[in-house]
Amino acid sequence: MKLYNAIKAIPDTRIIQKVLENIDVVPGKNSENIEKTVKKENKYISASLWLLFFGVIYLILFIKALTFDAVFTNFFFGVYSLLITSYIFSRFLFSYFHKEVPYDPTYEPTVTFVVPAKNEEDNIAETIRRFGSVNYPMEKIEVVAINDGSTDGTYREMLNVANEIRSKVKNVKVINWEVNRGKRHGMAEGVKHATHDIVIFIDSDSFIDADCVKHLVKYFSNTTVGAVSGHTDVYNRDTNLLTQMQALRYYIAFKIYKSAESVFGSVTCCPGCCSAYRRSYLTPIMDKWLAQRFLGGECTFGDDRSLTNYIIRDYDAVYSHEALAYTVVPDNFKVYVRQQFRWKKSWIRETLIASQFMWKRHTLAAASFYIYIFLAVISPIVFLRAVFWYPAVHQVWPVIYLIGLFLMLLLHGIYYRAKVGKRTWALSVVSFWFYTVILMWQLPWAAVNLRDSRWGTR
Amino acid sequence: MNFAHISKIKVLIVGTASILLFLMVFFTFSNKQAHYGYSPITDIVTWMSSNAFYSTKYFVRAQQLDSSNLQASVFTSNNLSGSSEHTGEAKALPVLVYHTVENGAETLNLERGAFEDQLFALKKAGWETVTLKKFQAFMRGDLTLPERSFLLTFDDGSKNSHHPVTPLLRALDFTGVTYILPLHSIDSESHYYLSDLEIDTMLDSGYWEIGSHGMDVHEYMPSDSPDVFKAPLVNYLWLEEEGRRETQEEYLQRINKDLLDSRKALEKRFNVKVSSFAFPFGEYGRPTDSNPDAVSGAVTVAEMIFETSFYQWRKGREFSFNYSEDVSRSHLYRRIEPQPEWSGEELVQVLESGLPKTLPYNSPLRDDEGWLRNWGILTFTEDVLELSAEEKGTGGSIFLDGSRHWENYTVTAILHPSTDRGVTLLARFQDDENLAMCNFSKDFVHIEQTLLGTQRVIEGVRNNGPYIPEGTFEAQVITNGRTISCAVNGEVIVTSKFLDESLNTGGVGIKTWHPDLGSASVAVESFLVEKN
Repeated sequence: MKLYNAIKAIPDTRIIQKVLENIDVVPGKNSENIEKTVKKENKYISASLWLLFFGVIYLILFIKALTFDAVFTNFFFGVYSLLITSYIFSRFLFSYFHKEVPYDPTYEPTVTFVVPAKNEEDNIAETIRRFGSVNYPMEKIEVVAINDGSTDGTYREMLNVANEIRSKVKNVKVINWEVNRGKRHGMAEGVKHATHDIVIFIDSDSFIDADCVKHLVKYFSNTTVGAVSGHTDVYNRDTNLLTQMQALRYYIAFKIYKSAESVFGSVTCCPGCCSAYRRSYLTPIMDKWLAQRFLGGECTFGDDRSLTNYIIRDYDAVYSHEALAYTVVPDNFKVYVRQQFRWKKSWIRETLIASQFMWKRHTLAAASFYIYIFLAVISPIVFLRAVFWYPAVHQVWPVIYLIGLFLMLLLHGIYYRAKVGKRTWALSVVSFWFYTVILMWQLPWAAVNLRDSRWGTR
Repeated sequence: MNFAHISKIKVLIVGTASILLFLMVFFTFSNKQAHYGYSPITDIVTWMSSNAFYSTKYFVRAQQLDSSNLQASVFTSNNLSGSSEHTGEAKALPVLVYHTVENGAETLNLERGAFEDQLFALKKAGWETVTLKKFQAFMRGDLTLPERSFLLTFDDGSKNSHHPVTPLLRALDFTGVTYILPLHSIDSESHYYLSDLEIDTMLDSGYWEIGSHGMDVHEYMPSDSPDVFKAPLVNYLWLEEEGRRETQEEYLQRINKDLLDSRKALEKRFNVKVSSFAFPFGEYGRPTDSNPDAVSGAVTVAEMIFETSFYQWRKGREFSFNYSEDVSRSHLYRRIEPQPEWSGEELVQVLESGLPKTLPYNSPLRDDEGWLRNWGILTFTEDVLELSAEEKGTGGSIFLDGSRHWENYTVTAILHPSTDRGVTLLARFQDDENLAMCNFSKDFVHIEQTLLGTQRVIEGVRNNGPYIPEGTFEAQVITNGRTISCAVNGEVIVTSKFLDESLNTGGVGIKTWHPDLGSASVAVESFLVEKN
């Protein structure tokens, strides 16, 4: 049964999981064979993938060596090129050295799940249901679910599932708001009603893994830690190319970028889909967070990033790569672009705020932070220049720039494939390239439209 | 670092990987520098991929060369087989000069396919390259070479004279000489010219030698006046600060320093002896249509610094090959410039028609045989050669390429001049300024010789005419040592025993002249040269 559960929990063998759900498997012979074949594929392919990974780094370094004299001929863009390469390599390097924190069975704080929801009747039940199936002492768990002015059957679903899990989780509160107040208020309400030590925010369309709680809370044994981000994967990965591409982006964003930030305890955004906060550090800042205003208007988006920002002024925010959760991502281009636009605006706002105190943190964390701002702002300009202006003036195709860009993104793609195993990833890499170019442009567009709060989070 | 674990194993892995990566990049980079210098990456990738493809193609094609099927449909020299004169050894060597291959819209640039066709055609016809050293030894008289040997040269030292070229040289086992501009190729990061690192690689490959193309004389500069630009090696320059043209002494000093500097720069950097020089623009100080003010002096200066100097042959006026017995011009050699539009066969035909011909020689009167035109109009119809004046011209003059080395012979030609001024047979023709001739007109048969451009009658008869009949007649020139005779229909009309010593060897030709514009014309029905 243990193997059965283990296989069930591994997202790669999703198909195997579906098969297992439908037939009665006798734990023993069949499971062993499945495990063996999965392992065999990995050994040789894994080795060649890592070889390919270093091969791509070699190619990137070689291109940098070839174009090095750009630093002398055009200082600004030459430096940009070196900087962005070093920055991305540094992300891989830092995340490689992230400390493994083992689960400590003697440290088991009490936790409160906070789930604000609006119009999520499809997913909310499963989300909450999973709270009752976690590998954690049930008596240490409580749940606060907030129905934030839903116009569908969310409230009904909440009540049903609450009844379902009450046998295991004693304290399940369902709060009903007739009128929508916004996610931020929902989260705040959850914190208000929470009585336990650690607050875990879960999105209404996110599903946590059974061991998620264990791996989230273990970091709080260190008193400097105020927030922990879990690792979120894409639940509806197989729907279409867009979701597959997002699965790649999510994986990279967490495993490389968040992990690199976490090395210095400076994770700048513990995402609302799965993050834990220490309640005692939260309560003093709740009012400030709720009252946050920007450019004369109320803040209706970027609640999670904003909250993390309040915490990391004084405490550490880290990333736990074993705390797994799955979230539903947009499978529609328009919805996706709108979501990314929203995220870009919250990034701009919160980065402006964080830049006021980030310099106080660890030098490398601060340097990474400010360099990233520079890179994000300059990238569209560099792209324009390399792909349009320079070719127009000098009659040359922007081959080197595009190859460099492609190789850099390929590096991420190979890492993804090497880590997660067999998946249709080749097209995702192409798609990843495509969206990187598109989304590069959202940042300046978002900066221009910063005041537009039409597309807030519910 | 609060949440980092610097484990020893991980540090080892990252460290080793970093060192390995650094080494790999370093070696790849130096390799790239050695092979491609500072070329832009797009060019490098293009060359690498196209060379990979074309090298294979060339080797495959080279395997298929059928060496037994030497001459195709073009004219081949040594027409009278079985001639005891034919030794199979070279008497003269042609030199070919190219500039760039695959270099877009530049003049004198060849498409890769055209270049491939030209060199493959040469190989197929039996032509093989020689090194510069062998060329020089041959010209000194120290070495014999097979008949169809040639020297392959490239001017300017552009990247496009190497990267698309060398794979073909390898496939055909040809060698080349590249004429470098030290200013552009040493301590320079040009994207157009070869870098010194690439030249090192070329020299190491064994397929290349280098020569000098001058230091700073490859760009037109103000001469005569600030607005008129000319070739600096063969023209006096305008001195800006002094507001005047340079004197001859200043000119000679300048070009002496320039050529010497270029040789020293190349020898120092590449550690090879540089003994040859290619005149920029192919000009060595002879007034031409494009440069009527060219001054002499460059040849003398070059002679003192280099054993061998090259200029470009202008079709006509002199033989296309370089004869080792051309003692007077022992330092100056001419090069044929294959035109981009020539097919392989056309190039082979040019060389075959210039190949030294053996006696006896019965001209087939073909247009690809090697009749070179000094001036006038030359046409061939049905085994008849016709030489006539242009509309506003006074005549025409042609000579037979490949006949430079002939010594004592009798030319028998059946001629049909259109005017009573008749026709001239040229003999001991060395170039259009050094030759002898028999002039046949109705009232006057005389022997002339032209020495260094000065023409003089040395013997003639006038009183017992008419010397030539109406219509067709047989004309002959007989040369034996310093004796030259002219005969009509078998009868010797005039003889001189005092042909200038310098005209001891030379080829044959035909000339026609009439003071009335556009009227001179002669039809040649037969032309035979036999050894005496």
